[in-house]
Amino acid sequence: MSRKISFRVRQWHKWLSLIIGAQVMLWLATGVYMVVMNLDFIHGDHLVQNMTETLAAEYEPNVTFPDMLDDYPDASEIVLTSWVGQSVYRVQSPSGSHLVSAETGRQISPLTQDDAITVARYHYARTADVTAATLLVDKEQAPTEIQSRPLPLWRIDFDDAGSTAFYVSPDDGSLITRRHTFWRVFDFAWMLHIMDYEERADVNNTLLRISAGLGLVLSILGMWLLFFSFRRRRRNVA
Amino acid sequence: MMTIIRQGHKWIALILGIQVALWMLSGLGMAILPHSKVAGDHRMAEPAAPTPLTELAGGKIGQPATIGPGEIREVRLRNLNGRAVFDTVTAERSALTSAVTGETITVDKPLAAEIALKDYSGPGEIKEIRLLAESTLEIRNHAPPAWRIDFSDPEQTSLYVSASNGEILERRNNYWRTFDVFWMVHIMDYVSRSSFNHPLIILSALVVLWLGFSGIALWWDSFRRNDFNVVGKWRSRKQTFALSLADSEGGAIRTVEARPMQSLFAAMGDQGYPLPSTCGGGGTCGLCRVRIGTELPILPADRRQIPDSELESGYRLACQHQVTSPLSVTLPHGLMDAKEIKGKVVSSSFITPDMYELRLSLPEPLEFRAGSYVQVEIPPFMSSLDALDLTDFIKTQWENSGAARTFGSNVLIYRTYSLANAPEEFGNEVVLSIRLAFPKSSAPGVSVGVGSAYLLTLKKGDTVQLRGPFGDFHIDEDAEEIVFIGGGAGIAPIRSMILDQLKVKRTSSRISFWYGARTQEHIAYKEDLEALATAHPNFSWHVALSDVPETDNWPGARGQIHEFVRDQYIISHPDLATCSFYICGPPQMLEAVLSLLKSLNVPNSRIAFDDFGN
Repeated sequence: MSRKISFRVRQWHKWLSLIIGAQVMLWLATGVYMVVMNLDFIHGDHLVQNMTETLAAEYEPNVTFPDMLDDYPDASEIVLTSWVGQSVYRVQSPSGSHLVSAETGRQISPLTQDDAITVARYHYARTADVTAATLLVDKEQAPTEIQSRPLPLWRIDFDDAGSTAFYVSPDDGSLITRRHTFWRVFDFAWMLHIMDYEERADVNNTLLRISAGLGLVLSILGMWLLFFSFRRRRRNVA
Repeated sequence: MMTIIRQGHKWIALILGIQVALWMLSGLGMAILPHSKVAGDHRMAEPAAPTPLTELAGGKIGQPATIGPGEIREVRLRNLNGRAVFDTVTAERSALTSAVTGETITVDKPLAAEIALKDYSGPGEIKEIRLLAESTLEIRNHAPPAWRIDFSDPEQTSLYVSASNGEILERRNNYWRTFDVFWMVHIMDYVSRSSFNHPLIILSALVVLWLGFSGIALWWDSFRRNDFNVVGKWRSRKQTFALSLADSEGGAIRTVEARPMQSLFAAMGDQGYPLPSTCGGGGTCGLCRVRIGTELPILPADRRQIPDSELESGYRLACQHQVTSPLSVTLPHGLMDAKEIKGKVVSSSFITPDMYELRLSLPEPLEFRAGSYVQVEIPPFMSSLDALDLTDFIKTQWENSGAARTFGSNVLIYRTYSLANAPEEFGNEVVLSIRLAFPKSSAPGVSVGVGSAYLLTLKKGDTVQLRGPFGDFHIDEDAEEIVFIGGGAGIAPIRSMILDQLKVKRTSSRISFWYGARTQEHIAYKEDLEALATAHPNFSWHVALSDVPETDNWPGARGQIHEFVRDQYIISHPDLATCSFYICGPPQMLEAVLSLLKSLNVPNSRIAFDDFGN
C-alpha cells in the first residue's frame, strides 16, 4: 500500500514540477538576486549626498510664517526647511505645492530645467555629466520606473555606468526618487517574483495565488517523497 | 551523473525542504491576505478636505519662539486635529508648540485618543491606550515614544500615535500581524523582521536555487517521450494490453490486462501484483527488476541498476518502462514471494586472501533452491580501514593504493550475494561467500566495495536485513552431464549446487567443476571439494591458476580457466550436446566462457550463468 502511495506521490511531484517548475525557478533566481543585492545599494544610497540638511543655528528667516500666510492664505501646511543650500518654505495648498524663498519671498516653483539640473547635481554624489533633462507631464509617456508618483516630474539622466536617473518635483523642488540599472533589474525581478506584469505592485493577483498554491503542493509532495526515499525499514511485501 | 544529481536533490531537499515549503506557504499567505486590509486602509476615515491654516487660528498665527539652536531640519506649520502647531524636527525628535500661543504641546493620553479616533473608521471603540517608551516590532521603523491605541474591532486594530508630534505612525491589525509573520518566515529574519540581505537567507537561497536546477535537470531522467503523447493516450484510453506474467522457471503464467500508457510498475500494482520497490518508481532502488525483453530500450536508470549481461538478456526496471504493447514479463523466481528476513551474524572469517565467509543465523531455516541469492540491505554508514580486521596483505595494498581509509554510504543500498551453502546444510544458518573488493596499488583511485566492506564491519550478533531468496540460476532437472565453470567468488552458488546435487538430490549424472583462481591461496573450499570428489566418483574438480609466478610450487594447471576447460575437456568431449553449462564468476571470465561456448555452437538453453557471484 505504501509503495503505491509513494509511486503516486512521485508521479504528482514530477508532473507538478513540469507545470510550475519554470515559475519556481523564476522565484528562486529573482529571490537570489534580491537577497544578494544590498537593499541600500538598490535604493541608490551610494548615488546621493546632502540628503539631511539642517537650517543654520538660531536662523531668523526674512520672510516669516505670518508673511507666508498673507501670501498663501489658503495654505494647509507650510514647512520651513533647507533646499539646495538655501532656506525655503514649502507650501501645501489646494492649488498644489509651491517652493518659496525664505529670504526674498519669491516663489521658485515651478522649477525650470536649470533649477532641476541644479537640484539633481546638488544631490548627485558622483561627477558624471548630465545627459538629458526632461519634464515628464503625460502619464502615457512617463517611464514605469516612477511607479505611481504624481506628475509632473523632471527626469535628469546622468552619464554613469548605472544609467542613473534622478526625478525632481518641479513643484516643491525635492528629489523624489533615483533609479539606476541595478534598481531596474531589481524591479524586473520583483515583477517576476510577484507575477504582476502590469503594475508590478499587486501581490494579491490570482495568478500569484494559484502559482504559490501549486508551489506549496510541489514542495509538500517533495518532502513526502523524502520520507520514502530515506526510509530504512520496509514493510513486508508479501 | 543523474544519480549524483538525484542524490543531491534529495539531500538538499532534506536539509532545506522545510524552508522551501515555508517560502511557498508564506508567499501564498501574503498573496492571499488582501493588501488594503493588511495596510489598515479599511479602518481609516476618509481624509477631510484640508482646512486652510488661517481658518484654524483665526489669523493669529505667530512666528515660532526660536528656530534653533541646533540641528533643525525643518519647522512645519500644520494642522493637528484642528490646532495650528509648529512641529520642530531635529535628527532625533520632533517637538510641538502652539502656533498661536507658543506654548509647548504635549501629546498626552486624551490628545492621542482624540487623534486616533479621528483617524479611525469602524465598529470598534477604544479598548486600551498605552504609552510605549521603547520601539516594538509593530512600529519598528519609528522612533519612540508612541501611544498605542487598541480598538475593539474583530481584527484588533491598533493605531500608533507619535508621542512627540502626534502623527499617526502605523495602523496595525490582525491581517497585518499575520502578514508580518509570513514576511518574517519569508525573509528568514526572525528577530528584526526587516532585513533580507543576511547570510542565512543568501546561503539558503543559493542552495535552494541549486535544488531547483537539479530538479529541472531531473526532468530528462524522469520523463519519457511517451509521457507527452497526450493524443495517443486519449485514443487508447479504453484499450488494454495483455501482460503475460511468468515466473522465471517458465511455469505459472498468469495473464492480466493492463491499461496502456502507464509504467509497467504501475500497471502491475494496479493488477494486484505489486513489485518490490523502496524508491516508489524513481529508478533508484533497483528492486523492480524484471525480464521484459531486449526490444525495449535500455534507459539510463536500467544501466545504473542492472549489469550489462542482464541488460542484454532483457532485464529492465519495471518502473522505467511504459506499457505500449502486450508484454511478456518474466519475474525473477521468488520475486513475488520474497520474504524479509532478519539475520544475525554468527561468524565472519576469511577463507582466501580476499574472500570471507559471513555466516548468518535466521529465525527459521530458509527454503531455497541451490544457486539462489539474497538481497542484503546496506544501511547508511561510515567506517574506516582501522575498524576492519584484515590481513596485512590487504592492509598494505589498501594503504599503498592511495585510496581513502574511510568509506561508507549516505544512502540505503542493496547488494546481492549468492548463498554458498546447500539448502538445509546448516539448519537455520546460511553462508554468504563475499569477495572484499579492496583498493589495490595496481588500480589507484578505485575505492573499496561498499557492500562487501560494510558486511565485514559487522560483529557477532549484529543484525542484517535480507530479502529473498531469489534465483534464476539453478540446475536443469534433466541434465545428463553438468559442467560448472567458475571463477573467484563465483564459487559460492556453484558450491551450493554441487552439494545439493551430490548430497541432497543424490544424482548419478556426471559433474565436473572447472575453477579459475589467482593463486593457491585463492582456492576456496578446497577441502570440501576434495572430500566430495573422493566420496562421489561421478564428481571431479579441476583448478587452473592465473596468477602464479614461475617459481611457485603449484603442480597443477596454469592459465585462464576458459582456455583450460576448452583444451582439457570440451574439445575432446565425445558428446557436448549432453552437457549443461553453469557459469559464475567475474565479468571478463564470464564473457570469455560464453563466447567460447558460442563458438562451439552450444545452444543457449544449455547455458546458465550468474554474475552475482562476484
